[in-house]
Amino acid sequence: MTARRSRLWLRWSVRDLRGRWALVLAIGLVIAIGTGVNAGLGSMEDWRVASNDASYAALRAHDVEVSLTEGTSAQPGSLAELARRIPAAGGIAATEERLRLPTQVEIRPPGEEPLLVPAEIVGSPLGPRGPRVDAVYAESGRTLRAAEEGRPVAVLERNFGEFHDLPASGAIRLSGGHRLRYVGLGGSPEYFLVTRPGGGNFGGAEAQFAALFTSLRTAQGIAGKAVVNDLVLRLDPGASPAAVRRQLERSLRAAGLSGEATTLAEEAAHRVLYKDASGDQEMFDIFGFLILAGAALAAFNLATRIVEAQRREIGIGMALGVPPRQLAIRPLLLGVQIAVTGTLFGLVLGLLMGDIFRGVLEDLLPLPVMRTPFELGVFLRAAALGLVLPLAATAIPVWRGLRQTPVRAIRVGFRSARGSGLAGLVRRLRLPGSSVSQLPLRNVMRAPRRTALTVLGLGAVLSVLVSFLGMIDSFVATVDRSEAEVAKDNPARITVTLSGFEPDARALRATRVPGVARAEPRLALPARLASSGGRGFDASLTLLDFRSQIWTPTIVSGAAPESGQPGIVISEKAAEDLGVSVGEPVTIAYPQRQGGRLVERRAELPVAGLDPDPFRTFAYIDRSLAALAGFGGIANQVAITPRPGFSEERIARALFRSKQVAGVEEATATTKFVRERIDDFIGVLQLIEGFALALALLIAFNSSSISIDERRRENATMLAFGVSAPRAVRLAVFESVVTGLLGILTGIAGGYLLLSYVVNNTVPDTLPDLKVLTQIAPGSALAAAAVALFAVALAPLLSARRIARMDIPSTLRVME
Amino acid sequence: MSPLVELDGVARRYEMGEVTVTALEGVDLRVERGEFAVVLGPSGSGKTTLLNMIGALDSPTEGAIRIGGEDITGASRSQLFRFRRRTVSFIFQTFNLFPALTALENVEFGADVSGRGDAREVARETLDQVGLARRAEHFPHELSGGEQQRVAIARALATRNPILLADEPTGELDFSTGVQILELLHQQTHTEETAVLVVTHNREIARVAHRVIELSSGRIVADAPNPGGPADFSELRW
Repeated sequence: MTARRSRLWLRWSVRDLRGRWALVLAIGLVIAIGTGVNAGLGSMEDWRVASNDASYAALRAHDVEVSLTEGTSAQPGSLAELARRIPAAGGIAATEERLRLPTQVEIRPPGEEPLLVPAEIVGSPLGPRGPRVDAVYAESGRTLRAAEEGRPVAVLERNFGEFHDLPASGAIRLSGGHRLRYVGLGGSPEYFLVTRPGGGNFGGAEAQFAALFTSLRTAQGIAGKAVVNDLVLRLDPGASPAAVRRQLERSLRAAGLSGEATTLAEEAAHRVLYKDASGDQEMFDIFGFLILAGAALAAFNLATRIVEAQRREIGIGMALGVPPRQLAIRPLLLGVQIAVTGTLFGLVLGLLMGDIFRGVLEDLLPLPVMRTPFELGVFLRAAALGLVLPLAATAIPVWRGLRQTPVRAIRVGFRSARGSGLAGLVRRLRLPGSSVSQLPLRNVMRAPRRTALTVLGLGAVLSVLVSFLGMIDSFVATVDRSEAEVAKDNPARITVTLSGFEPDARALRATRVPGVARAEPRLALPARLASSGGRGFDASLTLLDFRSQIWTPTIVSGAAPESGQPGIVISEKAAEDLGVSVGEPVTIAYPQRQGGRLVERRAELPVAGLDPDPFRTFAYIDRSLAALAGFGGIANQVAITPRPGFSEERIARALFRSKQVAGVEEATATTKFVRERIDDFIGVLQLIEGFALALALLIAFNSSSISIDERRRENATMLAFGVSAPRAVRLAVFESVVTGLLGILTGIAGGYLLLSYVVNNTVPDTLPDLKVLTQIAPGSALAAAAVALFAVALAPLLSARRIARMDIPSTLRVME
Repeated sequence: MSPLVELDGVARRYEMGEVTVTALEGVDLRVERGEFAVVLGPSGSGKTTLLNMIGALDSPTEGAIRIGGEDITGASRSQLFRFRRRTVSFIFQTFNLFPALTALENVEFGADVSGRGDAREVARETLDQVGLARRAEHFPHELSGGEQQRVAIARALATRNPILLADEPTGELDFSTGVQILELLHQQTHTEETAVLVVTHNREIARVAHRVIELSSGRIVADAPNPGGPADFSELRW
């Protein structure tokens, strides 16, 4: 190519760009949103794992923990001695004995009503650098000093403090009358995420649960005895936590102590933090892929259509004998322009996304160390697609154009005016209205490939939107179902957790306060349910009276066991996971009281009935069987029905003085905090929703704008025949709406499929305790549909001015 | 010496769903260098299809087309591109100008593609010949229909290719410009020995042709030299 000819082609391309810069920009933006969101979402797991690793390392997190069964304790030094005697003791780098106490605390936020919540006191020896294992950090205020060993000071768990907007220091009252001063808001590895038993391993329990980190001697002072009940160990690099755990458990049993050893990886917070990162990433990858796919389809469609509009010029070039390679230059340059614009915008958006997602992540998972570097590899993967896509989108129609005979390519309005595709179907259909009013439908049908690409692009983005909304609906529906089961006909009922095991009479006496209409002692034990096949999970086993006037589980299959009759009631979800049905045996590992100690025992019980609670962690047996576990006439919970007018808070306040009471909660406390956790998650979803929405709008606008260009001659013809400009616009709106409706149907169907996939494949891994119901509320589907319809219907209106001011003779005369 | 254009038994049929439309059937035709032939016929008679066949814009369903003794019906795509570049020039009924190029650039483009090293000068000269020197820097949408037609004619002339195919070249032009353009095309047959084939409805134009070919329903129904030779351009009236 000569220099002169090159200059001509260059000038030509610059003019092309000047003429369509808005479209290039808009398509570039579509690609940028796709690649940027994809890169942002794709980086989440790496960020989370890196932040988790750094945070655990910074606080010298334990590798193995030994916890004695609730209500039991040991002499100081005895647990450490136990660890020193195991065969793998050489691999232990550090140990720390602690005392963990359940309690209830009252805190007065400035200018607000006092908070009264269940709590845990974690007492660890204070060294010069705080505890040697599981150190405490301060987010605000300060940590404890070595000199404060035994002093009534503590660090308050930061998630709780931040949830309730508490200042960095303040006063705390404990049940039984003890007072502490907290000097900082901070945390420790076990509380990076505040979980609670029976809560389906959700984090987010901070609203209703406070942890206090204090010195061992302070905790012992509160307990009134110099004992310990917990041991944390850090191992040397290369030592096996699993082996140490096994040896410690053997050692515990040999010492006649009831308790369990767990590795860090088995801890709820650790498990949730890492599993969530990986499980959420699966979801984020799907969403990121869909957004990218939506953007890709849309960009492909739009770029293709622009090049299709140039096909006549390709045909002229062919007629003049211009070599195909030269003919491909201009359309391919369009692809390059879009690719470069998309990549540059994508880079900016990717960085912006990083910032936005980092902020969301910090809100969602407050860790002491956050590691969120720009993930270049992830971005480059998405950007590569953003580069290749527009080039392919322009190359394909050019290739197709060049394969045509020139006479076919050159034909005026060849692509837009030919009556092909599915137009024949419409011809056979009897449609209402005049030929003019049927035009939009015919237009949609006659170019099925183009319609399909537009529909798929819009549908993919809407799928993401619908699945996000559906995800929220599904969680809410699941929690609603659980709450309905827990509340039943006695939504006001309250559960009082005692500080330890008490005889029924003492338990009832401890909770005898004004406002209590009915009270029943109960026993809640940690247990493990397993099937004969070995599948199992941790559960909370409640021993209650199935003839209770306060609450019993609903039986949807089988029957409640009679008094004295062996049998267990588990949830349908538990039965499904264990692979058992009514009448089949389940193995229960439970603590048995032998003298003053608890030892683990196993028993086999037939499944008597199933309840509909979507949480699998709650199981029930008749209290008459408590004697078999050495708990005859013993309780650690009291179920209460309050008198009308007496709230949970009022009763909690009345019970606060009792040393035997560790916590007072509404029956629906678990579902309430799950709801709060969902609210946190909604923040992330709404962010992605916003981008999906922006993408849907951009696709609709671009698509409509190109359609108006393609229909220029048809519109001019209509106007020439006296069709009014508003009517021509209405027809354009109608055509856009028809395509939009197809996109909406695709989006809702795709969204449901996506939601089902996530709920059935990803959620069970990340939330194994919960059976999430797949649900898209009609309101959500309607909301997504309304947004999309609004966008597609509005887009042609923006072109109304162009139609109204059209130069009819020149548009009709020639294509130029 | 073989004729410049030879068509033997050429047919072109289009499949339109279940219907086959015959645009050309059994067409035999010879056109010599320097010949000015006018193709007449009613709408749908196959005039434009015939032009497309000769210009290798479309290929026949049956028969053979030889240009300068070379069979183009079996030619490869690249041979066809080269053929169009070096042998034929088109004046389209719908002009087919490039909207993003000025009048001068459109003409220069034609000259350039056909391999003329002096494309810019040729373009200016040709635009001047069609009376558009002052409109050289205007874009197609800034020109009237007649001016666009003249730019299209100038683009075809600037290639100096031996075959010039014109589809209703005067359709958008007023009488005097039309005559002027016809004279210019006619001139090519003398100066460059160009074979000019003009498709038109206008029987008056046929008066200045060396030869008149009439098509009806895709077949040649008459093909004869103009009785008494081509008329003088001053005698034309429409």
